Amino acid sequence: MKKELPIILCVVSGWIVLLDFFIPKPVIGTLSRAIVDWTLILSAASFVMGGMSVFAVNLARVRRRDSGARYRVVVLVCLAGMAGLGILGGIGEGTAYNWIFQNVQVPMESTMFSLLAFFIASAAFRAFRMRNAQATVLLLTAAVVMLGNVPLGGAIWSGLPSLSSWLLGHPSLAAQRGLIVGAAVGATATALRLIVGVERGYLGLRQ
Amino acid sequence: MNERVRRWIEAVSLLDRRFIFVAIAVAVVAPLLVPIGLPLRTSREAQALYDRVESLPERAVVVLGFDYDPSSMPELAPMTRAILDHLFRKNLRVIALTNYAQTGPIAERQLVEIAARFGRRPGVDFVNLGYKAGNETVILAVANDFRSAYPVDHRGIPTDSLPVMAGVHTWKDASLLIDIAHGATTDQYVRIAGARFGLPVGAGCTAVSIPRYYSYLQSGQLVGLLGGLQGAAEYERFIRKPGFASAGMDAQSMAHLAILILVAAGNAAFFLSRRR
Repeated sequence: MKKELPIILCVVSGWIVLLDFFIPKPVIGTLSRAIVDWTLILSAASFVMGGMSVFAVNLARVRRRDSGARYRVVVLVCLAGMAGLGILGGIGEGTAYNWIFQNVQVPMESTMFSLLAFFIASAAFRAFRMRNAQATVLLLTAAVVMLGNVPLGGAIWSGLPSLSSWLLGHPSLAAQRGLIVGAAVGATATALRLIVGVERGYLGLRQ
Repeated sequence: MNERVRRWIEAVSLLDRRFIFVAIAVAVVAPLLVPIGLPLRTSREAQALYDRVESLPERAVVVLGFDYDPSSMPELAPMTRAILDHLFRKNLRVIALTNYAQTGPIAERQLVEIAARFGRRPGVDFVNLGYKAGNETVILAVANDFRSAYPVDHRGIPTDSLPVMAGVHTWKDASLLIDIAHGATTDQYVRIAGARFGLPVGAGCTAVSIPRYYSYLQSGQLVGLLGGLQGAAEYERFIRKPGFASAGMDAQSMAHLAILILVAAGNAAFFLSRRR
């Protein structure tokens, strides 16, 4: 039953939620709503398990004095500290948790992401070469879109923003739509495999 | 090929990346200190979103998704603020929610600050439902009832007791959903709230995500789109309130130009060295 029960749960839940889309019967609607509510509860519970897992894995590495153990200590102290502050003092405006979040984590994350601009510029300088026809088309397209999407593009040539919009609205759109449709077909196929019990990878089992 | 050209090719080929970092920093900071005032062009998709909000009657319900974390705040917070300014100015009811665990406090701060400018009150004119784990399942749960998905708001107040939620039960009771996102949540809102329940969906996204959402724009599944800092600057222009995004457009223009000049120099050196 250790293998069968999760598959039965997945198949039954999947079919009920799917049927709710097509068959407007109260009994199916009620069951579907219950399953959706259970999913929300399970999603929240997975955060607790995730937090415990991060704590346990890092604590074990610190005890073994693995490489980078001092960084793991920082992780553990921050994890325990923020969790403690949030649980004991709340997370609303005026709490210590919120102060640390707004004044330490928010600026640090924003800064880390902003630094990407510098690395992208450096990487573009070194890697963006017109080595062949395809690379040339890519580079010219990138230049048009980069300039067309900022005021400078319109100041250089009034047709540049329109050209940029055309590139985004036609060739790029066609490719994007192909990707979206392809991904949707793939997702549908995977979902069908799940609700007929063929796909078992999520249980760590062979097909 | 003379000696000067040869030395130039070598200098460009061996250019220290710290020089590139300094060049980008100067390109970003200088226009912020000394604005150039480049003319801003407005796009149809940004105009469409503004027009849709403008067409809503007073006290209509707008759901605003704060679907980004601090890493994308510099790019997405300006458009969020411009949209909130517009929503509160028009006296629309705002229901804010997020699919990102970190974003509840970020949304709360922006809502409270901008609502206060127009005398809008929490619980009456707006509510921050905060974060709920589950991603797409949460969107599906709201299709059943906001109250079952969000029994309490970000402050812990029962949702059912809030005047702003009066008569609002499912997606069908809202007039518009605007998702400001740096991930895939807009796709989920389009799929469920838009396609299944007929709720008009608008979006704000990072500049890198713009091509992805053009598909939804063309098919009419998105009623409007703000892309990156440019989109935010356009919205600031519509509401006649220039802010951070408008100021940042000169900096973004110069940064793009600096990158293109560097790439052009790299390619020139590449071709000259091949000829040699």
